[in-house]
Amino acid sequence: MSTAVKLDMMPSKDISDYAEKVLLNNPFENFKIENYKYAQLHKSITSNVSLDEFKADLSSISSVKNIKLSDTSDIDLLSDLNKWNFNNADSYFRVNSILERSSKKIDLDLFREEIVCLDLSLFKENIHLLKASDSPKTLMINNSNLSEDCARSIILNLSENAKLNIIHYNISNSKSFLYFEINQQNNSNIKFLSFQSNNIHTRNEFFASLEENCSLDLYGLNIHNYGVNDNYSFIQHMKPSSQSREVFKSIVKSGAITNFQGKIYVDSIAQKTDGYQMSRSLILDNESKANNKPELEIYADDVKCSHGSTVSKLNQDQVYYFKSRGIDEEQAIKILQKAFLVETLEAIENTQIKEYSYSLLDSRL
Amino acid sequence: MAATEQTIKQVNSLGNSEYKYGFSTDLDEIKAPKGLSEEVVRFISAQKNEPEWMLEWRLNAFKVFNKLPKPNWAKLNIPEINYQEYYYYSSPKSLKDKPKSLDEIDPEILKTYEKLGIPLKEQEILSGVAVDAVFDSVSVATTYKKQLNDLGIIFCSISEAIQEHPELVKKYIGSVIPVTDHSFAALNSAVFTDGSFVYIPEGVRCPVELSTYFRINAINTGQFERTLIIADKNSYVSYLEGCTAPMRDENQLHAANVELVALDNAEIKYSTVQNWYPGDSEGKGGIYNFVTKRGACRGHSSKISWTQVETGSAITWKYPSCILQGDNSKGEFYSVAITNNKQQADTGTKMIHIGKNTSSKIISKGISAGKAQNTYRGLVSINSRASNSRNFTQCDSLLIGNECGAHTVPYIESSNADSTIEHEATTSKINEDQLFYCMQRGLNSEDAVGLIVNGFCKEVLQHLPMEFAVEAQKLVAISLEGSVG
Amino acid sequence: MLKINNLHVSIEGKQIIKGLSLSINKGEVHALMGPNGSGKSTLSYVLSGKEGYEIEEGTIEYNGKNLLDLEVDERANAGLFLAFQYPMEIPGVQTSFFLKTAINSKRKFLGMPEIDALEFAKLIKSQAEDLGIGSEMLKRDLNVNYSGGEKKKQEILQMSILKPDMAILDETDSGLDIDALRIVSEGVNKLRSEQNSFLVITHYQRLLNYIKPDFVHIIADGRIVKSGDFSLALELEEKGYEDISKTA
Repeated sequence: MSTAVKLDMMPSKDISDYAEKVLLNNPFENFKIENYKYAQLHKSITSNVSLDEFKADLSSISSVKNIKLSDTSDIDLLSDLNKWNFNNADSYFRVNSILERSSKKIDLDLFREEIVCLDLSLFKENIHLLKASDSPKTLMINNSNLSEDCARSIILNLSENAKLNIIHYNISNSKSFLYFEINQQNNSNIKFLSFQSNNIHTRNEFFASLEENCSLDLYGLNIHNYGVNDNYSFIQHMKPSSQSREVFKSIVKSGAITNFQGKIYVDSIAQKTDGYQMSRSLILDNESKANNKPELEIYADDVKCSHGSTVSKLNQDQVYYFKSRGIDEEQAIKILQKAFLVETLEAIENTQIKEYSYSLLDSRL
Repeated sequence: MAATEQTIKQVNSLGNSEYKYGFSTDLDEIKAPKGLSEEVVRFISAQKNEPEWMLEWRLNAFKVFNKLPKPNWAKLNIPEINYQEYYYYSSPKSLKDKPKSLDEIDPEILKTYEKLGIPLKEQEILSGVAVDAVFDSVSVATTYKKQLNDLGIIFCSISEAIQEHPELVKKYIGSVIPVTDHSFAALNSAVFTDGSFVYIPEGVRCPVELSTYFRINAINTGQFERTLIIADKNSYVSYLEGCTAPMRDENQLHAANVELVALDNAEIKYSTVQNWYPGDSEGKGGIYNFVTKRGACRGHSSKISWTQVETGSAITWKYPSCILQGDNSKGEFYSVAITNNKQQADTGTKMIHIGKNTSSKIISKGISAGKAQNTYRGLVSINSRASNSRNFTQCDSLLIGNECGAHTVPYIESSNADSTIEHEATTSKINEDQLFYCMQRGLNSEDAVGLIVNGFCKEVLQHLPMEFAVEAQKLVAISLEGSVG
Repeated sequence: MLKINNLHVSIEGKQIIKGLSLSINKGEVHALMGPNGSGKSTLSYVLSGKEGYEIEEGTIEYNGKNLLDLEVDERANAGLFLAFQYPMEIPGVQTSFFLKTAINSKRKFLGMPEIDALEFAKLIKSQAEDLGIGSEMLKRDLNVNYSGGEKKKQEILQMSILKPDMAILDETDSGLDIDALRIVSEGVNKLRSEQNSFLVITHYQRLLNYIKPDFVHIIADGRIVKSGDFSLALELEEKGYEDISKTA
């Protein structure tokens, strides 16, 4: 179905006008769109790269509730398409996915298991997740072996006082384009890790909106991808006294490109905001690239916001030090790479999943 | 009243007080016809008796300008500019025949300089600064010419350089900022009226700080300065630029181009204190300042250092940049940008690392008060050939009051595994405990804010030449004070 | 000189000072002693005019004027000085520049011209030497990377050049070793005269061995529970706060 036909079928003119406006800037065709600046979505880059045998095998984790289609119910995201609450940052992915896919709703509080797994290969739909209780829960999102041409949305709504730990395994996809939206009500708390490896062309968008007294920890671990691996985040503080902390670490080699674009936005009423963002990349060879664009946009004065960004190679003095203690270079490089990345794995609360993630990382070094 | 609150109120009331340098001088002027056209470009070129190649260059730039859209990357609210509403050339009539000495200069003009605090004669004697004063669009006086002449240094207006040193101008003009770069650069190339030209010959260290004071005076005369500085092998020059402008009700358009070229082992230090009329408290009447400044470190081990203190203008759009082509070359950018009332600034730098072992350093301090918006925008790009290169960037923003905004937009691009980029940025409000401490020692709230902000900016201010640093410190305090002077 | 009458102060709705009265005459040195959280530092901030403190009741008279009507800097220029327990670090501002700015603020207030460079240099040199502050320290940024002792000496240096009529020393002894304590105390004693007064706030009696007070007051839970002469400080050292508060 053509876009024009789809726009005609929209529930209201306001919605179709909004959709039309956003779709005008299609990053799959136009490479000059600022928010997709480094993602190279207009290019087809999957053809001359083949993926490694590296896989995420989540079946080794026990007592997991795997979400089935029957656990979900339909939800209409289309009629709220134009109810967008992020300031000056429209997401093409969001509009694209809501137009192209139907959507399913999942209430995480209905499962008694502590660990819930959402395997994206079992769904074609956008997923809308709800969490209202403060009981501890870990959501694993298995985002593996996909090859998709259009984006999909994963929307998370956390009610007041709700807590959630999320591990996103973004592994071995040839093409995957995800839009995450996190809406946090007062006093809610999220820890989110996105573990990314062995992908050819991926982009993950993380849009988060924080009300009062929330905390959001968003971590990215990005190691040995091919092609272009692109992360985009937009954290908006809309009420006072919330805290956000972002750490994205990337190691890139073999001609791959790793990108991080992230913005902390602080509304004029969001006093006492504490925002922190760190993006660090290691480049292992001259064929590879790292691009970072960490942004601050701040309209409140009583805030503490900072960002840092570094791009460098492995510290050769450290490698030398290891060798002088009899550790061979290959081993030294492995240890140093791991040391660079592990901070992000600390976002995982469940010991079983944490151990699994450590071993997954070890097998990739 | 709480100290901070009081400060905010005082800062907010600034716009209603008088702009210290707001006055104008009556002079008979020759003006180009109002508006922008090929005829105007030809008129300007003819007024300056330019050679054919220069006219051709301008006409080509004008064609390019007509094709390019206005740059839109900045976080600025720029009103639609009607280029036909401006005059592109005016010159004080009494200067039609160039004066041989200061005595021949229109006393009206000399008086204007005095009000600005630039008594030419005194400066000649006291400060050892050679002054190429630009009044409106024509360079009126150049001092210290002889001393510089003896060293082979050329320091003159660009118009004069086009006549006297066409081979140098031809070789370098547009070589750092191509005419096609963006529309403001093209506009300047088509209609530039004057500016400075500096050539430092091989092995020469320029013994004085070269200085130019720009001034916008004629109603609706956009200023389109063009400055070209070439430092030949093993040479050094420090160049100062300072600006004030008289109060006007209509917005004044300014689009300067400044090109620097440093050859092997050469060093250029370029310092700016910009204090143009920012407009009233509603931003009405202030200068639009669209400046393109770029330096090429063309030779190995060359160095270009930009230092700027930007306190004026309604809109500042400015990214002094370095292209580090030569191996071991170095680029630096030190910036203080203060916005108050409804001022908007989008400023920063680009450091393009192409040569091996190149290094760059960026220190940016943004202060936003009133209802102002202040953005740092910067690019650090390390090419795959630029092995062993380094960048360090520190961007700090300070907010005074809760109606202003501070934004940081850095682009960090590396394609080289042997290079290192480090970027840090912070945003915070002025520290109330520091304010309290200062006031407990008897400082009033304005002085306390001035002191603390100056401390915040010290890393940048200390890179200014002495005589400029003192002025700049006052300016920092003044631009945040409730009353000027 | 200073008359505090039935002062009640709260911070964010919480009452800290609950009916405190204290009179200090010209030439007197008063010591205010009390346990942590008794309201000692709050009193020093209220006297110097820090924001965030709600005066619910009571009056403070200073040289016949209502102190509470004055801004922070007006109080300072009227001769009220607070030596901070935690002096602020001000990056980028050279210590000597700060001192000069402070002196000139007072001179401006008094209608005097700015201090001349030579006079300033002489003044600072003599005062700084007495306190063992080297010229290198005066070139550093104010309080930045100073040790605890250096910060306290800096406070006393500021006090000696600003020559206040009423000086409040807020736990100036905390974090000082015995040598620094002696130097700081000598600095204070040198300044003592018939014309000025001191309020020395401290937790321990130790400081009072060096700066002999005329009066000692014990503060507990926001009010003065006992007053006496120096012997009260000795008694306190022996019995501890709990006992004294009980007998009060």
